[in-house]
This record gives sequence, structure tokens and C-alpha cells, in this order.
Amino acid sequence: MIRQIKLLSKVLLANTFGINKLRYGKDKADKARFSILLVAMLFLITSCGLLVYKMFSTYCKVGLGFIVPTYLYVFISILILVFTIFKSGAVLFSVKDYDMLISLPVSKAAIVISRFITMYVHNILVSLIILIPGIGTYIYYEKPELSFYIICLISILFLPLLPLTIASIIGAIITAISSRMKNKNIVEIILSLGLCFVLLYAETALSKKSQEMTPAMMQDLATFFNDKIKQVYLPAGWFGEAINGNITSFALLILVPILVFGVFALIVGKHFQNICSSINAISAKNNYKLEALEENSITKALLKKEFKRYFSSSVYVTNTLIGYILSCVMCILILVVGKETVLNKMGLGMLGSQVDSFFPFIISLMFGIMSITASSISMEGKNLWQIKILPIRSIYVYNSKILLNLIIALPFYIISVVTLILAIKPTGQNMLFMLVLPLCYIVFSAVLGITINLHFPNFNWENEAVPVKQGMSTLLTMIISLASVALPLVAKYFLKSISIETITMVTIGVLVVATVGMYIHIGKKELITL
Amino acid sequence: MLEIKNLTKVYKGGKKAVDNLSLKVSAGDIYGFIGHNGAGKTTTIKCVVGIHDFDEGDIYVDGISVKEDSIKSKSIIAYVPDNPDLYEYLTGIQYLNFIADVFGISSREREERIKKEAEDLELMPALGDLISSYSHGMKQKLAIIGALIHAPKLLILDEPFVGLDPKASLTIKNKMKELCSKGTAIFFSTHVLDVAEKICNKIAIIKDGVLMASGNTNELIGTESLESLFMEVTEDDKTN
Repeated sequence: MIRQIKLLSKVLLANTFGINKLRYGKDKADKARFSILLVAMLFLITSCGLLVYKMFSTYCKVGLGFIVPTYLYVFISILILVFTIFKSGAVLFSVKDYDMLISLPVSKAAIVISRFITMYVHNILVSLIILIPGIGTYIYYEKPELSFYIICLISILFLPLLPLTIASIIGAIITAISSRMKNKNIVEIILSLGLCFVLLYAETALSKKSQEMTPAMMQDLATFFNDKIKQVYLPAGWFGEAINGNITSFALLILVPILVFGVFALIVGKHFQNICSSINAISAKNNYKLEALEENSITKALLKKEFKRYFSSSVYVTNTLIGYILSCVMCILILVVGKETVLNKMGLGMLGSQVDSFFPFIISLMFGIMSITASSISMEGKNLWQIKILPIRSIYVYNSKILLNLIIALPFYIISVVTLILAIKPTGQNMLFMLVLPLCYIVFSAVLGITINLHFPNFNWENEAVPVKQGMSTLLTMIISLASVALPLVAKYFLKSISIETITMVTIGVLVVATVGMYIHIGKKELITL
Repeated sequence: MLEIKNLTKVYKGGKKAVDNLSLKVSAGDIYGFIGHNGAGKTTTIKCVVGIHDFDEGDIYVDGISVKEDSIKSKSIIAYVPDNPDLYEYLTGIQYLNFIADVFGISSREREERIKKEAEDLELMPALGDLISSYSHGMKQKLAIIGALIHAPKLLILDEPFVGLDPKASLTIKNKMKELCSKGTAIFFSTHVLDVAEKICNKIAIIKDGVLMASGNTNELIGTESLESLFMEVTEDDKTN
């Protein structure tokens, strides 16, 4: 079985980050796109590294360096858990190569383990972005002994195993439940979004708990959280003890995740074929009788198709709705518990009395961060030929995708803005900005997403998670959207004499011009060039 | 109806898939396009229907250049690929309605045509089911109905008989003859030489992107079989 796992993992990992295509493909444009992605990744990695260093060096300088390893361990575990939960089902039970693999003389456990390994490799690479600067900062300030390096190196290899297994268990349960239902996709979407709410509620409840601490406990805040983390997430505690020489804790740190993963792999391997068969099983009534058929305009026909495409994919819906949902949740919380509590929780308490003027930017950030259009061209996948041969201008196709994004965003925008207005009761200009700025960002990010995706499409995917979560287009759209919100705020920080209202008006103007410019640009880009 | 003039298509990476290809398909023709795997048949077809752009030459559909007015040319073409990747999240009838909407077909016309074609191809009961539940043959049939729903002047098919049961194959052949008798031109690629020999009044043989032979089927074949002609034409290059 080890040999099977090695072979399958090698094949699955061959095209990690598109490396195999880059190596053997002859398209120079692909190489250029990869270079741009590399630059974007390096920028992200550097920014991340600086942030991590700043955060942990602060702790080290005030004598709280001992909490750094525990914090790092739990932070990365949470990151892996949250980002893997919503794609683990799609990765583990991917149906694209199922027929081929299941007909080969390989064990089902080997298939499950090899798919798990691909997630493990991706997660460990991402973890290193935070681990390296974090551990580096700790080493620089605390100057640990030689044993620390050995224990740390081994522990890092096993760090993703437990959160990944937990995420896979939850992902497997969601997939298993939805595979038995008639409307699989809708059920999967509801379960995934429900999980989002549970995670958000748990996080809010925990933070509420911390506000109940006494002043004496607040003084020892860092030690309090350190102890709390060790109680809640035992491996973090074992890690903290292991690097201080506790062999028992080190053994537990390695063996427990292996044991949990082993049990998971055995159980899932045993039921793998049943789960995959259920996912593949599609009911067919075969009793259609022709009814009166309705005519629609080209725009409506394309829009109807886009709606069906969007809601046919739980990965697509879950990953693109999360920003809209967070915006609504934030605004509702502000109405219920007050803006100061929410902003302190978000670490934005320093905004002080000017906070009302910044709210439009905060909502805009959430609406702009995951645009539906960023992967909408890529999501055509092998169906691209169908829209290419239709006697319609390409702009009609782009319009339908932009419209879908706007229609989906609209109810969340209304809920967010109305709730926020009720909560903080802005007047005059602030009220207008609260209505206009997020709307501008929604339109901007919808047009931006499709513009980027037209230049960085990916049609050769086997798993929908690839274009939605891992595509270059999604990453670039996110970075540019973030920058478009950050830049006005940075400008405000440096240009203190200019009011936030002026900055907001300039931002609106720039967004409108940029959106119009991008729309004109895509109007000239024909689908045939893809 | 279809005129391909000096078509050349070079893929990124340098591979010349089609090299200076010229041919004409007239109204009422059933034109067979024959060649080995990788000869350039599908590339040629994809250039005609607007999936690929091309480097040299031009393509005219009913006198309309596909480069200058691609929308007008596409409005009279129907295309059925060899492996129809259709929208699996739609039902068969939703897919047909979508195509009909895009081509601006009235409700009455689409109902009539769907009824006729779906009954001929025995696909009516399955139209209410998701395309993801269809077999390959059913998807082929649905793609064909989608192609015929707007009464195209030029019907282009890539390996249309692959995956069809014998009854469906016969229905398609009869349908092709019926369409041609009404003036529709049909251009299709195939490996099945028997079919090409029986139903095509004109054929073209392509090898490594180059047109090796084209013209009236009977005149080209003479007293031999199409198989002999094909082997002769495609092997001749090797011996030379």
C-alpha cells in the first residue's frame, strides 16, 4: 500500500501550482502568468512575514516570548482547519478521476491517503509562510537550546495532521449527508454555511467570555490565554512543553495525530466507494412530456444559465458568499451589542470618534474580498466551446456574469447597510457614503473579477475548488480589492489634514473611473482569444 | 455555403495544425472530412465555428467572413462536437430552451422542432432530467437536437456517429439526407470510412494539416474503395 500511496500522491502533486504544465507546456503566456503569480506570492509572503515578526517581536520584547510557540501552533491549526473544511469534501471525494482510480488495483485507503497528502503538502507550504518568520522571531529573541531546533523541526511536520484530519472529518460528514439527499448541492451549501455560522458564533462567544475577566486577570492576559489555549487545544500545550524538554509531551504530539489520522483513513477508506457512488448517483425520472415553452431575451437566457451554474456548485457558493455573510453578521452585531464592542473585537478600537466615517470602508472590504466573477470565466471549464460558438457578442456573456454577482450581492448589501444605518444613525454625508461607497465597491469588484479572469483563465481543472480557491485570478482580484480599500485608509493616515469625507469622495470617483475603464477594456476582449 | 481559403492554424508552441487548407462546401452537399488522429480535422472545424482563431487565410459561411462578422456567420451554423461537454447542471429541455433563446426562436417553432427531433431520436422522456444523468449517446442526441432547433444552413459535426446506437446512427443519416434535400450543407469529420463512402457526395482527406485529396466522392474513388484511396493518399507521402 505504501507504494500505491507514493504513486498516487506523485501523480496528484505533479501539477501543484501548475508546475507540470509550466514544465512541459509550450505556451509562453502561461510562463508569463506564472511569473506574475510568483511576484504576487512573494509580495504576500513578505508582507505576512513582516506582520508576523512585528506581532511576535512585541511579545518577546515585553518578556512574553514563552507564549510565541503555543500561539503559533494554535493559530496555524485554526488557519488550516478553517481553510480546509470547505474544500476537504470536494478533494477527498473528487469524482473526476474516480472511475479510472477505482478500476485500478489500488486500495481505497490508498486513494484517500494520497488525496489527503495533497492537502497536507499544500497546507504545510502555506503554514511555513507564518511558521518561518514566527519561529525565526522566537529564536532571535529567546535564543533556545539545540534541542528546540530538533523538536521544532519534527513537530512542524506533524502540525497540520490533526487540524487537517478534523477538517476532513467534517468535510466528509457534510459530503456524506448531502450525497443521500435529492438536492445534493443545496444541502451541501446549507450545511457549509451553517458551519460558518457555528464557527462565527463560537468565536464571538469565546471573546465575550474574555470580557468577563477581572482586572487582575487582565494584567496577566497573555499567560491567561496561553493557559486557556493549552486546555482547549491539547497539542498546542504539548508543543509548548516539548520544546522545553518534556519527552512525554513530544511523544503525544507525534503519536496522537498519527493515531487520529490512521483511524480516519481506515474508516473513510472502508466507506469510500459507498460515499463516492452516492455522490455520483443521479436520479433520472425519464418521464418528460413537452409543455408550453417560454421565450426569453438573450440576456435573461444567459442570466438563468449563470444562476443555475452558480448554485450547482457548493464550493463556488460557500467560498464567494462568505464575505457577504460576514458583512451582514458584523452589521447585525453592531446593532445588537454596539459598535465599540464589535470594533474592539476586530482590533479597530483605535479609530475612536471617527469610526462612523470608516464604516463604509469596512463593509466595502467584506464585499470586495471574494467576488463571484473572479472565477466565473474559469468555471466554464470544458463548456467554454458552447458559449464561443453562440451568435452573440462576448460582452453579453460578461454582462450576465457581472449581473449574477450584483444580484447575489444585493440582498446582503441591503441588509448590511440598513442594519448599520439603524445602529449608528449617520446623518447627511455619512449616510450617503454608507449607501454609495459599498455599492461602488461591489460593482468595481464584479467588473474587476471578470477583467482579471479574462486575462488569467484556467479551464483545465478537475476539481471546482481549483478555479474558485486556488486560481491566480481569485488571488489577484483579492489583492487588488484589498489594496483598493487599504490605499484610501493609508492615504488618510499620511495626509492627516485631508478629511475622511474628502478621501471617500475621491475614492468613489476613482472607483467609477476604474470600473468604466475596465468595462470598456473587456468590451474589446473576445471569447475566441481564450 | 462554406468556403475555406488558405487556412493556416499554428498552435502556441509552434505546432502547425492546419497548413494552407482550401475547400468548398455547397448547399445540399454532405461533405466528409477524413483523416488520421491528429491530422487537423477538429482544428479546422473549430476554426470554422469560432472556437479557435487562425493565423492565415479566411473562412466564408454563405459569403460572410467569420473574421469580419463572426456573429452573423455563427447564426447560420450549427456545431455538434465529438464529445459534447454540455451544461450538466441543466435539464435537457432547459438546455434546448437556452439555445433557442440565444438564436431567437419563437415558442411555437421551438416546441414544434423539439417535439419532432426528440421523438425521432427517442430522447423526449429524458428531456426533464439533468444532463449529468445522460449517457454519452444521449448527450450526442441532445447536442444534435440543439443544433437542429434553429434550422441551420450549415451543419458541422465532429465524429457524429461515435457513441450512437445503430438505430440512432440510421436516424442521423436519414436526417442528414433530409436536411440536404432542403438545401442545408453538412460538413462532418469521421473515421468511419464506410459511412463516408455511403452518404457523402464529396470528401476531403487531410494529413498532418495538409489537404491531400478533395472532390466528388465517386470521381475520387473510381473503381476502388474509399479505404484504398485513403491508404493510398496518406501512405503516398511516406513512400515519397
